[in-house]
Amino acid sequence: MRSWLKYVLIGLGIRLILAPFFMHAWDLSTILESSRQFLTGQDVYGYVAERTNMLRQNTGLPLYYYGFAYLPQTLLIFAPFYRLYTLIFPVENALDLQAVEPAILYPQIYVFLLLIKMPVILADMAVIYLLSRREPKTGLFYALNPYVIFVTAMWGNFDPLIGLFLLTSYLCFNERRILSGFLYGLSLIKIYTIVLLPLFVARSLSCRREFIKFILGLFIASLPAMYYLFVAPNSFLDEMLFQGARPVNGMNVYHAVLSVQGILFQTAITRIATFIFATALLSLTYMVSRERLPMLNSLVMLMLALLIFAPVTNEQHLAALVPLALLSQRFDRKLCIFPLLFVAFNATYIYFAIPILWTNATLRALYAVIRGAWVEATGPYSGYIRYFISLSFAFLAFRNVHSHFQPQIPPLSKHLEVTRTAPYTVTSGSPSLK
Amino acid sequence: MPNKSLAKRKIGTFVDTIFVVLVVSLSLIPFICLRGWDGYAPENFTSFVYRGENYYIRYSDETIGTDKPHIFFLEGWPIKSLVDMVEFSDYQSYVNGLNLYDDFVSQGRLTDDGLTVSYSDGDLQLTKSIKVTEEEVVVTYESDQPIKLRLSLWRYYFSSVNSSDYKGILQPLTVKTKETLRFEFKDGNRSFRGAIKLSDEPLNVNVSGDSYGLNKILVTYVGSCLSIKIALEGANKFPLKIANKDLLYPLMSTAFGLIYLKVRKYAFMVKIRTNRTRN
Repeated sequence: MRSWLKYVLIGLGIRLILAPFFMHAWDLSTILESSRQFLTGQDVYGYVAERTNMLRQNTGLPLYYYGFAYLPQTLLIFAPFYRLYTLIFPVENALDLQAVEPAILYPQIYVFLLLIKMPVILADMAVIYLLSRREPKTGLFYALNPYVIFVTAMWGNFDPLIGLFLLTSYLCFNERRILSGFLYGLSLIKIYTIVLLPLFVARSLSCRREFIKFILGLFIASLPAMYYLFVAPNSFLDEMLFQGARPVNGMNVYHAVLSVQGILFQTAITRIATFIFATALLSLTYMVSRERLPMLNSLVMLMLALLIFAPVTNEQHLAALVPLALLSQRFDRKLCIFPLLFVAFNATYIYFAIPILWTNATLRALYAVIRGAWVEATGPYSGYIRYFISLSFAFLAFRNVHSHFQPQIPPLSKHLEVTRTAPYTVTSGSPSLK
Repeated sequence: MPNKSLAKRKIGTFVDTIFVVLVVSLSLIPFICLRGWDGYAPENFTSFVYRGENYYIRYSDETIGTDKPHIFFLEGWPIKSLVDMVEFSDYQSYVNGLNLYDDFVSQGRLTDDGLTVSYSDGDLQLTKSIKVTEEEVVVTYESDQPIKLRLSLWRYYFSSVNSSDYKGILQPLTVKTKETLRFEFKDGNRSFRGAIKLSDEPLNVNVSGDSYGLNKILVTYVGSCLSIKIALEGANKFPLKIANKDLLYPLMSTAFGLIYLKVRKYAFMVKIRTNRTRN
């Protein structure tokens, strides 16, 4: 059996076994609710805007409802799988994962989780294939990477899908510029990959024709967003702005600020964080352009800068970088450890086991006991532990950004070895999707 | 060529230093300013949270909803943990015989001074405000007309109220009315002593409990303004103000920064992976 096929099957098997039994209730409820609203013709963004208004009226504070705040292309990817779920269960399919006490139906939840995670699982398979064709060990690394498996199969978040779009956009960049622009446009489903736009544009500007092709691809991918911009401009723009106005949060250098209570204070801090982020990003974009660094290194560096300096950096965001970064010889793979650790002290691992631990009263009591014991044991320290993990990640990532500027030194063994017979060769050359 | 390399290295060191200074500066934010209120609305009700150097307050927690407010003391060094002090329960409090939780519509708003909650049942307007200082938590009830207010203050369990443990008392028992009530409680192996100071003399004060101990203080008051100050007495507050601040974040960031700069100085090597493909 070909190695890439073996790795794809291994990766698929692991993900399919885990997918039906674990979830991040809130994140998947967002996909569930938005798919349901989309298929019934409701305004997805209008619903979120309405909930935001209600929150603000109730509290008098500039709060946002954490609902569907992605580009509408996301709905085109997930809604068909939700539709398939409702076809399998035409009645009694109403899961409510947004309630304080989620309403879960069995066995519907298992089918729902498997189906709704399929786009991301399939994206992982594509990534494993593309990586294995270039470097078999890298493909295997991705297939077995606990962090990637956790985000895809257990969390159910779709950052690995963004990872696939970025990877393929990069691989197509030299030969198929329209497709590259289109895939990059798809990667914008979570708006944070916008940080790469100046680089893509700058690298396309050398040839006017190629630049137009890239923009054309980007435009085609953005048509659903244009549609919402036309039919529901206010609510759509509100949600897009929300991503830029969210108070500081997550695994980044600002984590210490979270211990200070006060939404107004945190909003002020967010402005400072945004300024720092913009400065870091502009400086780095300027430097990679001036130094004429390879496209791959530049993309990885900018995404790392996003993870270090963005006001909001969630644990799953690194998953959008991993497929692309694994092509880079300089990417520090240890970075994957930190978000995985961070989850234990943030959402907690047991939270993801709700689908299997809420099946009956005994297991549910066990869930409450384990979660309560964990929260009690780590409660007073969890903020400091999270900060420790955030700092470890930030410094290692910063060091990794630095390493991309250093001239590549050939490995010592290359000079020392007398002969290195087949079957190994060192790869080089420009990227392609083959 | 060597000059260019040296210049690049100098720039690298400068950028590293800026990064470390930035991280350390950000970690100083909790050290400089640690107090504040937050609000959120998980479903159809609104929750508020306060955190300061000494007190932590929950108002209408999503899992309970009736704790308005629940007062905790922050204790320990360098990592502080929550010590449950006392909870005002709307569910067990009444105004002119009407239940505060069930019979009134309430809405909370954060102001510069703290949290203000307005209660309304159509005829009566009542305002509850919560202000927190370094020393105490002040809960004030004000209405637009004289009212009979019956408040319940809970804790599982008080060791004693006004120096008496009232052992075996299940029915409410009247305590000699004073403007200041002293209570004691245990948290783990440690004993704490607190005081409840009323701005006005109440009509009466009752205590009651269950088979495990004393868990309720009931204050009945007639008038239009009652202010209740709650403070922990003789708690381990450090004489140096700096010790009450959150020192761990700056310490951690400084340690990380110094280690990073030290390691960078010796120019660690970056592992570069070679790509290999099978023929």
